[in-house]
Amino acid sequence: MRLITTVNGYPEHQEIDFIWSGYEEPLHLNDTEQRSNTASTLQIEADALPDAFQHHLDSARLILLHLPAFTDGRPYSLAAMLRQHYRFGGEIRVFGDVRAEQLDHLHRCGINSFILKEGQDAESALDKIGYFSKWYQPNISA
Amino acid sequence: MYQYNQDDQRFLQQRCDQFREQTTQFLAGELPAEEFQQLRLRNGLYIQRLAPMLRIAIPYGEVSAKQLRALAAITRDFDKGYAHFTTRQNIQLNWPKLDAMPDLLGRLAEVDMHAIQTSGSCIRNITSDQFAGVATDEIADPRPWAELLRQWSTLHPEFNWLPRKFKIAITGAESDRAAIAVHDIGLRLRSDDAGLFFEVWVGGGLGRTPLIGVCINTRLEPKHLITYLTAVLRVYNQFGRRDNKYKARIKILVKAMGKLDFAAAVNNAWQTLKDGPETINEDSIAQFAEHFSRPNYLTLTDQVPSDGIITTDQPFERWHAQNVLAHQQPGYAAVHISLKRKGVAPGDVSDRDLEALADLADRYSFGEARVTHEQNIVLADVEQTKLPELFQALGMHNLDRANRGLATDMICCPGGDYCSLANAKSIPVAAAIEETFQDAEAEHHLGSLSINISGCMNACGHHHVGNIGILGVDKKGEEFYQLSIGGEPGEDARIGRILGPSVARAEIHWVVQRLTQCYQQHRTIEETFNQTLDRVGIEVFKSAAYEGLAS
Repeated sequence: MRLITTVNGYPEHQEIDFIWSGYEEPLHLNDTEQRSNTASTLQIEADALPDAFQHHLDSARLILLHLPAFTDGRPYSLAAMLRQHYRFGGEIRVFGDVRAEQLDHLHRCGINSFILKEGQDAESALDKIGYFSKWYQPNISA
Repeated sequence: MYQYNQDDQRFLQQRCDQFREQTTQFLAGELPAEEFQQLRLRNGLYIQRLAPMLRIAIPYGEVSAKQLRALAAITRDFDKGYAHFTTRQNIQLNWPKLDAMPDLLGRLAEVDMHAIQTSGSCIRNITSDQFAGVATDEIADPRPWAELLRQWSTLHPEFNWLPRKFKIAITGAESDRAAIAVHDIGLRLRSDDAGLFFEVWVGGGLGRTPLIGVCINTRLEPKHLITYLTAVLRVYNQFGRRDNKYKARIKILVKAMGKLDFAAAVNNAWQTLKDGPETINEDSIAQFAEHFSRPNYLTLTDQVPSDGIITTDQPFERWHAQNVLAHQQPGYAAVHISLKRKGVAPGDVSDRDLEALADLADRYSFGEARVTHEQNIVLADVEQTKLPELFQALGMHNLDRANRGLATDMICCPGGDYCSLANAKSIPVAAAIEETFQDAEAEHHLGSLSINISGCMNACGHHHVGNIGILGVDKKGEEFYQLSIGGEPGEDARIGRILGPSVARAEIHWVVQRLTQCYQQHRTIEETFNQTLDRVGIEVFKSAAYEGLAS
C-alpha cells in the first residue's frame, strides 16, 4: 500500500496508455503498437464497464481508478470486481476526490495505492487504514 | 436477543471515538461541511428544521429493558424528555445538540446501541416482524438472519456510498408484517421438502415513485444469502442512477432494466461470489440462532376466556380482543401496546413512558420489548394469567388503549412540526382525525382500517400502503393534503389510488370521516375497506369524500 504524491492530485498524463469511460471504445493515449510487449497502464472512469476493458487486464501493470466525487460508490465496486471477478493482482491506484476519511474503505475494497486530493494531510491519512480492530466483512486484497 | 461480545463493543467504541474526532475537526473548521455532513448522516444525525435530529437504530425492533432505561435517561440528559418511534423500528430524538453528540453516542454504546447507518445513502437498519419467534404462523425465526445482515451491512466498505438509501426487510411468517414488498430488498423465509429457503424481492419502495417489489429469486438457499445480496448491491451500486436523486433508488433501476434483465445481471455478478468466503456455513448461522433461543418459558396451558381468568370487565375484554395475540408457547401471549394516544403525537413516548415500558418488560416479558413498524410496542412473551395485571399496570401509564389496527392506530411521520423535508404538518392532522372518533365504540364498530399520514412525498408515513393514505403537499405556501385509498402493506401489498384533488388542512379530517362513513354504508358483513372499495368502485368513495366541498 502506498501513497503517491502528484502536483495537482491527478496522475501524470504521460504514464497512461488507455482511458475507459462508459460504453465507449478506450481512448488511446500512447502508441500501443510500439508498446505491445510492455505491460500497460489503464485509467478507468467510474462509469466504465468491466466487459469493455477486461481483455486488457492481462497485460495491465497499473490501474488508475477515478473517484469523481467522494460520495460516488462505483469505484469501490469496480475495485472489488477487479480483484474478485477478474483476479487482477497488480496495482490499483485511486485518484480524484480521495479524502483521508475514505482510505480505509477504499483499501478494504482492494485498492492499494492512493493519490490524495489536494489539501489532504498525507500523514494522518495513512493512519486511517486499519483504524478498526474488527470488521464484519472479509477484506478484499490484491 | 443478540448479545454483544467484546469485539462488537470495541468496534462500537472505536466508531464513537472516530465520530468524536470528526466532530472536533469539523467544529475547528478542519473538515469541510459537505464531508462532515456525509459522515454525520452515517451516524444518524440530520440537521432539521429547528435542531439536529438523531435517529437511533433498533435493529429489527428488538430492545431490552436496560436499553429502554438508557434511552429514557438520554432523552432527559440530551433532549426534552421525549422521543419518537419511527416506521422503520428506530427511535428519534428531536432536540440534541451537535457538540453533545459524541457524548450521546458514547452513552448509547454503553448499552450496545448506536446510530450507525440510520441515514445516508447506505444500507439502513434491517427491519423485521415484531412477532418474530412467537408468531403462530411462523415458518422460521427471521432474527438470526436479520442480525447476520445487520453485521454484514455495518460499515460495508463497498456499499457505504450507494446512489441512494437502501432498506432491507425480512419476514419468516405466512403473514407479512414486515411489508417486504415495499423495500429495496424484501426477504421471505419459506420452506419446502428440501428445507428452508429465501424468496428475494427487489425494487419495492414508496416515496415519489411508489412501486411494489418483484421477486427475482424464488428459491435462494440460505447459505447464499450474503453472496447473493452482495451481487444485488453491486449491480445497483454500479448502475443505479446518480444524476438525479429522485430516480436513484433501486426500484427505478429494476423498472428500467426489467425484472428478467435485472435478475440476469445479479446472477452474472453472483457467479464469482457464489460459494466464496462469504458463504454462510451451518455452524455460523447456528451461533447466530443461539442468541435468539426461546426464553425460559414455564410449562403452562392456554387459558380460555370462560375459565375465570379473563374477567367480565369490559375495558379489559376489549383490550384483550384487540391487542393480545396468540403465541407459539402454550399459556403465553404477545401483547401489543398502543402508542397512539389522545393528545400525544403518534409513536411519541416520554422518558417516563420508556421507563414504564422497561419495568413492564422486566416484570412480564423476560426484559425485552419490540418496536413495530406501525410505531407501537410489543411485549412478546407474557403469561396469559398475568394479562389482567399487565392491563392494569398499562392503564396507570396511559398505555392501555385498545386500538391495534383500528382507525386511530394511525401511522404518522413527524411532519412539518419537526422535519425540514416536510411540505405540511402531519401530527395535527392525526389529532384532528382522532377527534372525529368521539368514543371507542365508534372506531370498534368501524373495525380494521389503516390510515397513514406523510408530510411529504418521501412517504415516511407510508401513505401509499394505507387503506386511506394522506400526503401533505404545499400549494402556494398553504398546507394541502392529497388522499389515496386502497393501499395495503402486507403479503397482498398494493399502492393506493389517488382519490381526487387535494384538500385544505381544515377539511381533511372531515373528508376522512366521509370516507369511513361511505365504507360503513356500503360494506357487507366482514368486508374490509379495500374489499368494499374494489366491489363498489372508487367513484362511490370519491363522490362521498368531496360532497359539499368547493372544487
